[in-house]
Amino acid sequence: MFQTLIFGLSQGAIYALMALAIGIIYSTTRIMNFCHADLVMFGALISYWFIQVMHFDYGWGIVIAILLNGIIGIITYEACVRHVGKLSSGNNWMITLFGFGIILKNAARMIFGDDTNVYPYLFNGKTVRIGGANIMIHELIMIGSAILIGVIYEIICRKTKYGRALRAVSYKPDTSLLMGINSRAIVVVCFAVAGAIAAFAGSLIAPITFASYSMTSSVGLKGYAAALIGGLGNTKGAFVGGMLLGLIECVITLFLPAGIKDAISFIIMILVIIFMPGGILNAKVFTRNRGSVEKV
Amino acid sequence: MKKLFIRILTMLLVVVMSCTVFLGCNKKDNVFKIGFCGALSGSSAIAGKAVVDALETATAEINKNGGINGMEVKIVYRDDESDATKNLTMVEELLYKEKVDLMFGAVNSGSCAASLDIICEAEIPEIITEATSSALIDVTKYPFIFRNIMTNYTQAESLVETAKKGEFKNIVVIGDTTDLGKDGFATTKKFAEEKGVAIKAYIPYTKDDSDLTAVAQSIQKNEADCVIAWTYANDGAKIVKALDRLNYLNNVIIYGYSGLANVKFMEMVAGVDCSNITYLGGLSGFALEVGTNKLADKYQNYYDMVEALYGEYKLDGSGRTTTLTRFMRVYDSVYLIKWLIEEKAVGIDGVSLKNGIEKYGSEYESKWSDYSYCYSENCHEGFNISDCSTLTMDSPLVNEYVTGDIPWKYKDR
Repeated sequence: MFQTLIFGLSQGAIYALMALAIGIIYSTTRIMNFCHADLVMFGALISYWFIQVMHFDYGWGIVIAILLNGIIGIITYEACVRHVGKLSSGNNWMITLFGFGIILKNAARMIFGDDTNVYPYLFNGKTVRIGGANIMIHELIMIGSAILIGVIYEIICRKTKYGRALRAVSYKPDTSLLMGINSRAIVVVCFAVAGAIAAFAGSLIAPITFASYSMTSSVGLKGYAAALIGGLGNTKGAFVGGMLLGLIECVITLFLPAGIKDAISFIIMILVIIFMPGGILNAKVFTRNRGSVEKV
Repeated sequence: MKKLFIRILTMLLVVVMSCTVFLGCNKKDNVFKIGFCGALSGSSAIAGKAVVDALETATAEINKNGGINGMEVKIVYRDDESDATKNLTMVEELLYKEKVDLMFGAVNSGSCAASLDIICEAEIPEIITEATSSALIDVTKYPFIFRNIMTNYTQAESLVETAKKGEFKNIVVIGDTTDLGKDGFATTKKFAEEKGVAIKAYIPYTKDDSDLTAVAQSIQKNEADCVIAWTYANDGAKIVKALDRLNYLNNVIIYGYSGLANVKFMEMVAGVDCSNITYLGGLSGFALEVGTNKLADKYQNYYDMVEALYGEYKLDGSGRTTTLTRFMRVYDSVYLIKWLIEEKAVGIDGVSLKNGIEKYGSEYESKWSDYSYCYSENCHEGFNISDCSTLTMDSPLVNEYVTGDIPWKYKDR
């Protein structure tokens, strides 16, 4: 059973990393970045190319991918979000973001090819034995990274000037503008950060899914599900939603056929939306004493 | 005068337009066109590329030697990206715009199935060399469709028979939720019941899922000592690695269907002992007997030809990906058609070719097999079941021959 929990946690870490980046963009723009899964894929392929083809150091390959994907995140905003009009009243951003995702996918195929590529694990896939279960060091790093990124982002939001500005833009974008906060710059930075996290997540996921242009076809959707389950725009929610989803999937498939695992994830998502709209961590029981401005 | 001029002009226009219409309807003079619409991108691209490689090689050779009865052979191909809808549109184009004389089937069963009706409606014969779904061949429903690969049906019979010989206690069957897995489950169940083999569990999973640990856990939970795997290489590799993580891989023997073998499988499972994993291969002449390092001359010549044309096969997938068996199925089929037209004086229209394959196909001396095709009026499955063999996954590199893509036949245990 402990082995199952470990598998669930490592899978959950994947979902948490994806949900976190989706939440970052949602927190400032109130839109879902529907090309996020493709950003994850693109980041993974960039790092694969630098590590396996150009033979860069593993760490440097990921750093370069993070930087490049951050730029692609900014391009995503400039191309698909900035000029589509008022985000709160229109839906054009859905089409533009979906379309950009398709562009990314096709660009990945053209640049990196169609092959499924073997991506190396960190520490060569070494495993350690904890409590009778085999866990890869790579998986420990995945879980740790999800926690660390979440904590760092939470600290930035709570303790820094930038974080206060971000929360203000999230809560009242027009008022923030009037108060002298450069809302657009905040949003651009969020897209860049989300792109960077996507690349990092992709580099961690790719050894498991193998690196290819279709690597996030199933896991991508679950990132959105995890974000919705935990609570959109809520850093803690992204982490909780992702981990919970991973754990529930793993435990349920002990009793039900693995072929319906995906359906289970989305049934959970729908149930949460029905009974706890806004996600688990935004449910009343968790927000009783919290002022509305602190929901960010 | 003006009216006369207009009348003459109108008549000339009608004549010119009629000529262009008739020109368009005319068969391209002295050209025999072969069409292929299949995956040239995506996870099935290796198979699609192999088909194209073989078509190009065969047609280049034939054209160099004067074509087919003086006709130049041309190939027209399209990438359907493993999408059935795209396949249908592109096949229509091949049939009615390009006016092909012969088709080779898509590599994915789903894509293949999408265009069977329109191909039969156009009365153009199609030879399937990759897609294995049992539903693709039906002499009544699809009279123009032939196949020369081991089908799921054939493979299921062979896999069940192999599992039966092993006298395993707990046999489980795994497969994805696509047509492959569904077909695999259905045909395995059929033969298991016929042969009195008890199957403990059928374990489905979603294709290309990032985490297939649950499948490995189900195998372990059922205390399986034998797994019949209807899985592609990518998913198979994930399951094998998960079994290894659970320290269960050495407790089970895996008999995979043919699609489990992929040039990158060994790279995907790097570090894992794969001595318990086998897959089903056809064209047994292209497999080495355990302990040997050279094929029979007939087969070695073709191996050398493929290597000369497409390079060295490398276990890490960085070299040639077109394997001999994939290549020869297509290559031999082109030569079958040439033989029918030249030696048996079969007409080049679709109906004549179809009838020719049925009537004379079993007389053709295959370039890759010691066994004759099984084509007949009532049977469009050309593959001879005697050609099946169980092959090891980890192939040896022997002496100066890079025989990595020539597997050893499985040593009986």
